[in-house]
Amino acid sequence: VNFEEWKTRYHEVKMPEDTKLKVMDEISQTNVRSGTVDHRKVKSLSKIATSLGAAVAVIALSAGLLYQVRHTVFTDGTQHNIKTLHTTPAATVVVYPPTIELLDGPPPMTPTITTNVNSPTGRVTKLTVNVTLHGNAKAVTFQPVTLHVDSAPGNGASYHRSYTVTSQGVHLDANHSSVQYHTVISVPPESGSYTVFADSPTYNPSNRRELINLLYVNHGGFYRTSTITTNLHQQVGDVGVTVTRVEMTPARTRIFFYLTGMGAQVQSQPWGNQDTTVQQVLEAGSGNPTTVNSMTLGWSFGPIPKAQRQCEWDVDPTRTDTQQLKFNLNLLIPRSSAAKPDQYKFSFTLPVTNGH
Amino acid sequence: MNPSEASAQLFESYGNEVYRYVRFILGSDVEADDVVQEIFVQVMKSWNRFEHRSHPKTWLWAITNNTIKRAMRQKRHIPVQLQELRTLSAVVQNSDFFIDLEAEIRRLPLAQQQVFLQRIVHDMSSAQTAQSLGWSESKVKVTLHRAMTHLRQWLGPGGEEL
Repeated sequence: VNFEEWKTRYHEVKMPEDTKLKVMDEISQTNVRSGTVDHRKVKSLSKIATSLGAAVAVIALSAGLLYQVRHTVFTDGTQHNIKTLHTTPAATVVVYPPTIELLDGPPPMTPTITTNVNSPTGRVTKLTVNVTLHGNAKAVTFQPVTLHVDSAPGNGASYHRSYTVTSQGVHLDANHSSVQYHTVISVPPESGSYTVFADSPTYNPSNRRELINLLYVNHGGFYRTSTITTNLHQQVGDVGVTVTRVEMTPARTRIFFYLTGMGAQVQSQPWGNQDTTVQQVLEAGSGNPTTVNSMTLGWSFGPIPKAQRQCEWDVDPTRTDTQQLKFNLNLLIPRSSAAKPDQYKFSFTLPVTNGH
Repeated sequence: MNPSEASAQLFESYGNEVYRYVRFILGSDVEADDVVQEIFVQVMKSWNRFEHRSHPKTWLWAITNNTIKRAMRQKRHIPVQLQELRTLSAVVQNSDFFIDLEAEIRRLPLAQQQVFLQRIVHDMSSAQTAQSLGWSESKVKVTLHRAMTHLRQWLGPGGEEL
């Protein structure tokens, strides 16, 4: 029995050449650049990247931040795996690898792709896709744009279809900063809600999709539901409505939907329950809105990761015109147990037509 | 020295040592490969924050221990099997003993394995080991004592050489 002999053998183990080369390669290709960013001026890692002027970057955040993430920003401003930074102390951000060309001047422009539904009718409808360049004039070319139609979660059978909006890359510059395309889409005859978004392989995924929730009521056509992105993202996240199901019987059309709202930040705060009031206001065309219902949902944002409340609403069976289900949403959000709650008001509408 | 140079230098000086340690604890060439790479990337990323209060080697070992812990947590590390063990000990005289010894060391709780390897096999001091694990020296000593007691018992009459 010879422990020392084992120890000698242990120390004879050498790292394989392949591993050695791989590590050395990784090190030599990586050139760390550091910069300090003020958290009050940034909301996402993408903005940190652009504030450092990184053209190609993988970012790791230093200690003291909520997240330790890697994040890639490409030369055209596209980015992946975005994580929102919540309030943290000023952070040191490390950017690598060395192929980064640190740019002077304004950050890369961020083009946006938006999708609009103009008077949608029937199963087949025409959508408009806008591609717009913002910021200071610089040329950007990105890959062909695709439009996607997906069935929303909880919508029964899954459905996905993609449509080519442009077969070639889109080039935008100071002279042509916006371009519009029309695409005809269709969904299966089942009633339900569908999401539509346009994207491009090289497009910034954080902004690439103007998400449209399309409610398709059988024989009634497409209707757009709004999703509100508040400027209070860090406090309450997105507030919106998601239609999950449409039930049609000879007697009625009933729509099931969730009101949604959450913010990761909320979970960590010692906030109590929120009083949330939702008013359903039925509008008849351009006439005066009539409040048909008012309810206090009493959302609890605290320990619940995603506050949802299922609601039901019957479409008036006696009417054949387009009705708007309008929500006025008041959120009372205490900033701390001692502070007076802040009140935020949102409203959004859900146009529907009786399918009968 | 910039982070890239620092990482390259530490890799040159201690790469093999770190590799042996990681490979032994994880019991897998493939995992060791990834983790060693991750360690030296981490060194590079953290170099500007290194305050030089300890020796760079000790700091490297701290990163090594943290990276191993993270890797084991992420991958739900499965303890090494006998077949893999055989690849760790060269087929030499006493190879059965080596295999059994390695298996016995691996049966120790992770903390005892780490302390045993760092203190006895890598000949690090108690202070260095404590710093690299973020422990007190007395905790290192107690943990080592437990590991040694177990291994001495297992070794039997020849165990006193430990």
